[in-house]
Amino acid sequence: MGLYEETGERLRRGMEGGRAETLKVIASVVLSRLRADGGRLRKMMERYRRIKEGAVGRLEELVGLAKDSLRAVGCEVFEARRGGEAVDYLLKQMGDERVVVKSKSNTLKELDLVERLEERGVEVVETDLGDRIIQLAGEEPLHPVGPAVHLTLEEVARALSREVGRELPPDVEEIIKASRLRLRERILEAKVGLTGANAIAAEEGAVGLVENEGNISLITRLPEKHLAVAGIEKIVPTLEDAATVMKTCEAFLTVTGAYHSFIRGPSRTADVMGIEQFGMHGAKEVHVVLLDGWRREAVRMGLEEVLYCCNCGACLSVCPVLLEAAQAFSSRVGAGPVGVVRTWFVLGPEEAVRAGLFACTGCGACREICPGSIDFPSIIERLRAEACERGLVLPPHISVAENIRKTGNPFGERRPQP
Amino acid sequence: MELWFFRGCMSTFRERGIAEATVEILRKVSLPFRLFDRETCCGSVLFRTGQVEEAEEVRRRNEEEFSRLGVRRLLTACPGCYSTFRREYSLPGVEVLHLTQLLRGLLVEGRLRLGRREVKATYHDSCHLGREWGLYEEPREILKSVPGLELLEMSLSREFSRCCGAGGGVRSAFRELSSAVSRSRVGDALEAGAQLLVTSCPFCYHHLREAAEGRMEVKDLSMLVRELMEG
Ligand code: SF4
Ligand code: SF4
Repeated sequence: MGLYEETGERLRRGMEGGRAETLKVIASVVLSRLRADGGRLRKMMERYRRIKEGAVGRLEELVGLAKDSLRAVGCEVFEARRGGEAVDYLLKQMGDERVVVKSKSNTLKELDLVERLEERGVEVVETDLGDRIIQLAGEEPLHPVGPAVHLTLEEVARALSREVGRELPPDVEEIIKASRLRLRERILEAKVGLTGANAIAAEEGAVGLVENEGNISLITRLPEKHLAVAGIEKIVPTLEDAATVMKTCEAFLTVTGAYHSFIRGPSRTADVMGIEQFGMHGAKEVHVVLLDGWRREAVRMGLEEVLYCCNCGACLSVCPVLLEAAQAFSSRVGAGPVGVVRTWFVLGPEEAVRAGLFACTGCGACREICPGSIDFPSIIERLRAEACERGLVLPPHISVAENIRKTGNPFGERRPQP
Repeated sequence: MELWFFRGCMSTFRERGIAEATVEILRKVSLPFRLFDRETCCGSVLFRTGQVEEAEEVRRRNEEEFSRLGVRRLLTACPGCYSTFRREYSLPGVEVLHLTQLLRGLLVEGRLRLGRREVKATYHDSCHLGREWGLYEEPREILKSVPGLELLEMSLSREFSRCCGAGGGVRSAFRELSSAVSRSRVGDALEAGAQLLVTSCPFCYHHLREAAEGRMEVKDLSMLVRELMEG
């Protein structure tokens, strides 16, 4: 099967999965919230976009500044040009530990870190409940906001029963209670916590994290070591900018009651005879990996807007293609328009085609709702042009071009007399 | 200034009713206009599918043709052509108009009066007209001027409008996906309680009418206007 047929097949399967219906429900919730206070969110989008534009515009300077400030507050900083370097560093930091507690992160997905850790015999425990359910059920996540919402209560109870060591009834409260207790045990037992970052404040040297469950607070405090991985696009000038980014991300995720944390180095105390000691209540070591990967290349190609993404997932709720084909319009590194673009850079052009580079209608609904107003139709068009140059143009599109060349119209027909 | 009407491929080969309606409207309001003897595709589909070289070729050909003919006012009924002329073409001194803009102008001047039609209608924003160029009001104003027509909004409209699913080369490459999107769009219109779904794009019209399968009436704005024009 050629790449084209394979993509068509993937899309067809995505349409049959029945998951699109669940996505439509999420979409309507997201849209109604955004409509409810459109004015406030518009303003937030504008501020957000300005901050990201400014930050990406002085990327190199901010990377340097962030490194210095993070080190000054006691973090270990590792700059990774390539994904592989980041993975090696993180594996090294794991040492002989066999368990790591992890939070949701697109950057970690990009690194395929879970696979890498599992290959080495490390057990990765997802601590976000939705992700944990998906992990235990062996399912694919549906949507970043609600990865497991397509599963029934019975399916969830079944997935968690073995983990908690008893038969769970299909009851939400029971499920939450049991998961909470079990996850706490797992977090207490782990020596390493692994997170992404929602923002990095360059001047103050702070890692900003947004969450709604509280799992991130626990896994960044309780284990001895906190490993945070951030794409360099997460760096913004100040703590205030970082707060705006986090607030915006939260608003567009439409998750309420979130915790916003800033981590500025390891936990410390000098209460015993004034001798500074690390690792009092929180982590003893904080490592920040600043990942380039493909980001500088995106800037070089003039596609820096992609770096304005905060992974809120709002675009997924309005994309007409995703609403029909669900996960078929994605790859393991992400879903929807931003997922396809990331796929291009991380997994290469062919994978991007498979993920649906040519399935986007260019409608611009994603751009409209995106807090960064990322112009995906243009970006996707640009990558299509790059794909065509590499001979990845789809057969039906070749015919259209041939028709136009021969007859002046895409149908290849003779012009009727007016 | 002389008005040149660029019919576009969709209205020439698949939905001739739209080009015919446009021509008749122009005649009825006594707006002199000219047609191109030989039109070449605007190249929109080539630009959208990344076939840049081929696209640039037709762009150059059309730009030369327009300048040879001294075109200064270019009318199209197709948002795809409209957007491509405005975005990708370099047409200094040329005013590019979409039919909805022209019609709205006529409405304001009192030169366009539409007759009664008792119907619950809804308007589907073409992505290239709405989100791309912000032409949300023009078509709605025209619809609102029809006595008896009740204009209902779909829950996904204007900037959050659901695409008809045809654009970007998706209809030609992934027909099933493309049709699924259009069926959902017709579903949006039915859910809004509309009997008539109006759009102002030959491609949306073609695609949505096919998806409606007779469940509701679908019309391009040009066709509706021609039917209801008085005087
Ligand atoms: S432009 Fe493409 S990715 Fe964005 S919403 Fe439309 S179809 Fe989806
Ligand atoms: S592209 Fe925009 S809307 Fe989509 S996840 Fe990123 S920030 Fe959110």
